[in-house]
Amino acid sequence: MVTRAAVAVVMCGAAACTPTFSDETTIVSAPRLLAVQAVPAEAALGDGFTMTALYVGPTGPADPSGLNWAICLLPKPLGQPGPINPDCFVDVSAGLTPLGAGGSVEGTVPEDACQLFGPDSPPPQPGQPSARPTDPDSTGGFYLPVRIGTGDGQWAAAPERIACAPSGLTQQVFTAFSSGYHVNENPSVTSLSAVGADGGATPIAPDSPGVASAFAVSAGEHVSLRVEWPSCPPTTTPCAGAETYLYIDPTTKQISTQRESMVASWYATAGAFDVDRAGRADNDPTPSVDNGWTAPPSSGLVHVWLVLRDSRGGVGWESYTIKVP
Amino acid sequence: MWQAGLGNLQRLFQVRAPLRGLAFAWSAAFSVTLAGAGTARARGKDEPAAQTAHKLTKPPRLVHFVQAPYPESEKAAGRAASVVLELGINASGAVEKVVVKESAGTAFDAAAAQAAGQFVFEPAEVDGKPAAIRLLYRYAFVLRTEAPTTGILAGQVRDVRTKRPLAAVHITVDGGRSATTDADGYFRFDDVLPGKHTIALSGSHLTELQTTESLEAGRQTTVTYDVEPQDQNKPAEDRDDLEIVVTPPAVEKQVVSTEVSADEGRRIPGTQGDVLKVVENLPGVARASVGSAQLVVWGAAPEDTRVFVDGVPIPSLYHQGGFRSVIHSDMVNSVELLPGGWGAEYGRGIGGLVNVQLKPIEGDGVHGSVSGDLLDSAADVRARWGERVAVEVAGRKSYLDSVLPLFTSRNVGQYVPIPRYYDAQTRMIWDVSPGETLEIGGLVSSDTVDDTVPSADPTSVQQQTHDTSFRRIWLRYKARASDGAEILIVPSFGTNSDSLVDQFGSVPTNLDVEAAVASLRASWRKKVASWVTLTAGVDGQFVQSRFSRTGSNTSPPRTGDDYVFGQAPTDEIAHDEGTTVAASMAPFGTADFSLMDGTLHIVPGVRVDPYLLTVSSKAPTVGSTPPTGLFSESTQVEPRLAVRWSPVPALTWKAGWGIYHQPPAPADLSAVFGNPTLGLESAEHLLAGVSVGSPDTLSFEMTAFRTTSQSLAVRSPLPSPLVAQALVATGIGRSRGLQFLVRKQLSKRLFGWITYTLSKSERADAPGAPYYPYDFDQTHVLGALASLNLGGGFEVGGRFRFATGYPRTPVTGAYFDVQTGTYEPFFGQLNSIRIPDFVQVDVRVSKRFTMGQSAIEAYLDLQNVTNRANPEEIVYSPDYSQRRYITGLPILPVVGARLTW
Repeated sequence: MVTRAAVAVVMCGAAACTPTFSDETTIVSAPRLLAVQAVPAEAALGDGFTMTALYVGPTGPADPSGLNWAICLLPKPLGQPGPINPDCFVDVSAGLTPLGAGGSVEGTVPEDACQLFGPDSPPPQPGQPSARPTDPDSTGGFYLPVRIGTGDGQWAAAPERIACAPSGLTQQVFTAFSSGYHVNENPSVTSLSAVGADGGATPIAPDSPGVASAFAVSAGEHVSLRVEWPSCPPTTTPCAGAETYLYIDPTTKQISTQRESMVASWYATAGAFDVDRAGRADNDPTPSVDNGWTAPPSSGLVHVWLVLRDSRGGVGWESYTIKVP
Repeated sequence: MWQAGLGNLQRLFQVRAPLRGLAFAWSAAFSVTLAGAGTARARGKDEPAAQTAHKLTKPPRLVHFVQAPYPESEKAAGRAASVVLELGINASGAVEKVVVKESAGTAFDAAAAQAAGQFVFEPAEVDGKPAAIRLLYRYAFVLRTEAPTTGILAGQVRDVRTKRPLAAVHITVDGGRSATTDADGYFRFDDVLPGKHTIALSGSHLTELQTTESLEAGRQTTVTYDVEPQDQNKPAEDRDDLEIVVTPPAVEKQVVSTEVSADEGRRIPGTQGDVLKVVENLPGVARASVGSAQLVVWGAAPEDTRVFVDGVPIPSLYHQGGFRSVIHSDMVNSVELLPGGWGAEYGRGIGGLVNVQLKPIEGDGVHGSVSGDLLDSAADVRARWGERVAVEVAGRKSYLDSVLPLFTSRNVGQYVPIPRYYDAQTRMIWDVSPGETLEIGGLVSSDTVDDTVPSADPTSVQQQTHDTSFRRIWLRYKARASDGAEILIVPSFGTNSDSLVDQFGSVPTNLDVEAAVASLRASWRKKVASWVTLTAGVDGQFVQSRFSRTGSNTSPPRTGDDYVFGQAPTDEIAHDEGTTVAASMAPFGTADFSLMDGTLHIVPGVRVDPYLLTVSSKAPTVGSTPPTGLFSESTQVEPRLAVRWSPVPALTWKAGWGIYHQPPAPADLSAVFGNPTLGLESAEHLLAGVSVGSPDTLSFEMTAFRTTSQSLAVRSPLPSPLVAQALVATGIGRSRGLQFLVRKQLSKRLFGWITYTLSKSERADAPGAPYYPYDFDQTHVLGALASLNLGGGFEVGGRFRFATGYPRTPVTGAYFDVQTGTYEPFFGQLNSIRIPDFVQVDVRVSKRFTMGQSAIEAYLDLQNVTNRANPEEIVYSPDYSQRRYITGLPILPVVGARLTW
């Protein structure tokens, strides 16, 4: 078995031998798709779902009418990295089920989704043994791949988590899991605050129609920002934060519980964040994370978007406007 | 006698003593005094005050210097001294009188006086005419060390039946130098050049015999020849009709092989004196990426090349990272690389073969070495107990992980992978009887590398720990039977362990493989006729492996995968564990037909290898259903053929061909990640070449090669692979190329070689599918190295390397993964671009200090002296819009020292 990844272990100072890149993915300088939220966050076979895009531009929300959505029905090759078969990144294909265009679309989870993308073996060809089912992700989940074209040659993949019954379990474990598992909930942003040097937090109100932004940061000033999400109990109950859920350990095939990890992605139309993504691992229950932001040198309104992603595919976001006087 | 008033005259003469005792004599003319009845007069009180003063118009000039032998007693005591002599030189320039003015002891005085008495001068001139003169002369004896460049051959000749010494046996070396054994049967040759020599024995009651001995610089090779004298009771015409014990000739080299002695290997720049690292500089070997211990030979996968230590198989030649080999250099006699076409004695591999030969334990008393540098320290101790038993223990341990915290307050291991390794070897050799030895040995090697990439984003935190280790114990029985046959039996047993624990965010990659390995190699070799040498034997191996794997199918990536360095593995987690057995017991045989007066050798061979493969589960485990295993058996017949033809001395044409097989990797037999029904992978090697010149001086070799491989395990091409068929055995490969070697063997002062390999290595996922460049394909590999003994204990060496970069798959764009908030790449054609070429120059300087029986060698190994930023891997920005390179090590000085006694 070839191990190419191990080749790149280099005995040198990382700063001296590994190049650095000017990463400006946090800056929204052109219309971009930042996130997609699926409701429900986890759907069963035959259930309907709605997908809504966070499509923004340098001046705020962008026109999403050019977004083109489709379910990708082509299984991904086993050795192919990523969440979707790259052959689906075309406008029209027999492997695509169109969902329409715009900022929000509706779809239905195909009845054979768990065979195509889940733990159920696909129907075998005549005279052939069964095909290999898909492996679950690190949260035990399976996903229906949806591809999005932005109309300007850019593509995105937005999977919908599908509720498939796990396979390869004893009946006892299967029954306990099925009765105790609850589907994923999308996370939500509870608050965004500016944290002062004294630890005091100044709330920043999210964007609201007809309400002008009251939060201001001086040009070039650095502020510490804190995003919070709901604190969830350590029990398997639905929650809009880092939920605890049932999980099948792939090594023991027994039930265990895990907590979701939570990652906050930061975007703005100007300025610079200290990091583009920050979050809490699954063993850290703190329902908040901090990041720093340096205001741009010129005055104006800066649009900020905060996207929360939990480890089971749930997404939530809020938008803000910061005034640089 | 008047002082000349000319001040002191000083001349320095540097003389090399003829003996290897490294003695130099310095001499200095100290002062000149006019003398002689004809030119100088004592000034008496009756002389008129106005008498004319004589003037030295031309001082004497030494035109013939005689070197004084360094007194043995003084040399042995390590003493140096100067003797001041007064020389009386006549008008003809001859020395008539020598008086010791400042003594340095009887021995020095006598040696200096005798030598000086033979000096010849151009006579001094006083007032323009030759005149007698006296001068003071300082004859200095200085001990100076030099790195040895020759060896010593010494030994004893005995009657094979009575073991009594045989006197008056005439011994010659290469038909030139000769000696005769003394009353005790001993003989000795000093100052023999290193390398192989033909030793001939003859005598009035002895049928002439020949043998070959290999000598090393700085070492004494002690031999014992047990010979059968002629029976004097027989009629003279029958005295030659003795029972001639015909021993097989020395094992001829394989068709294509490059062997390097430990002496040469230790001097290669960039290897820090690690003998086995010389393999990386041999023809046919691709340049490994920095930090990699992989051996890529003729474009074969690293895991396809086999490594043996005196017939015992080991899983790896180098520690992780490739910084050090796993065997202490003092134990190594030579290392031989067979890139392909090797004989029937070896199997279970479709790539190359590396043979490490351990050194016999020689010398009386206790000897050893201790060495250390930036990375690690090592020691070797060997001793003889009586005449029959010798013991050696060696080991090495790294300490960079302990040293670095002394220089930095950070946990450097969080940012830089720090290798931690150790190894140890031990042997006991028992000379059971003449020509019969029994060796018991063992070795252990262990590696751990930790790597951490922290991040504020928990899904981007990377942590990896890779532990590898192996252990071996062996017996080695070697005997020469009464009929001249050579017998070798080497059973060995050991364990291998390889554990990779990796976490990329929430995606784990855990791969553990534990194996128990038992091997048996037995061979019998005999010259059955003057033109036929037969070798027969059996080569068996039993490997029971237990594997456990958790993670994504894409981690680690396989040949043919679209992959970018640093890319997160796909978040699709599976798990499997199981047990496999791969066993084979292969009888083999070769026949060496020596034709046309030994100029033509045709060596056919065959190996019949019955393989037994078992795996504990032929399908993924479902619930509590017990797994059903799988058993397969196949017998492979592997013919081999080698031909060597030397129509004239120093010219040899060679050709070789062979069929090879190897069992699949244990983890590839997983029903979840691989395919339990995978069978043997196979290959065919075909090669031809020519060598010109003498292997002992300057030689040129060229070899053309072509290898094809089949039934390689590759990913299933189906969009939905069948159950238990994530891998299929449809992959094929091919490598072809030319390799060149110009080599100058170790001589008095200089050795080196130039290698160039032009090759192409490709793979295809199925017969009929298009070929693509193999991951380890390197079109051009050029290396040039040389080491020069400057004298005075100094050695310098340089190494130049050029290599084409490895192929990589380009990224042509990217899409946004909404679930993770990161970008995923679009890939171009597989392996269609290359990392830029690699160019590097390394330099080594060493100085050796001898102190009696001990020596210290200090060295500076300067890697990448031009500080070139060689690209080692391609990396991309997070959105894949920018591409740059990770570069290798900058200029790196490694200072080390080695004490031997």
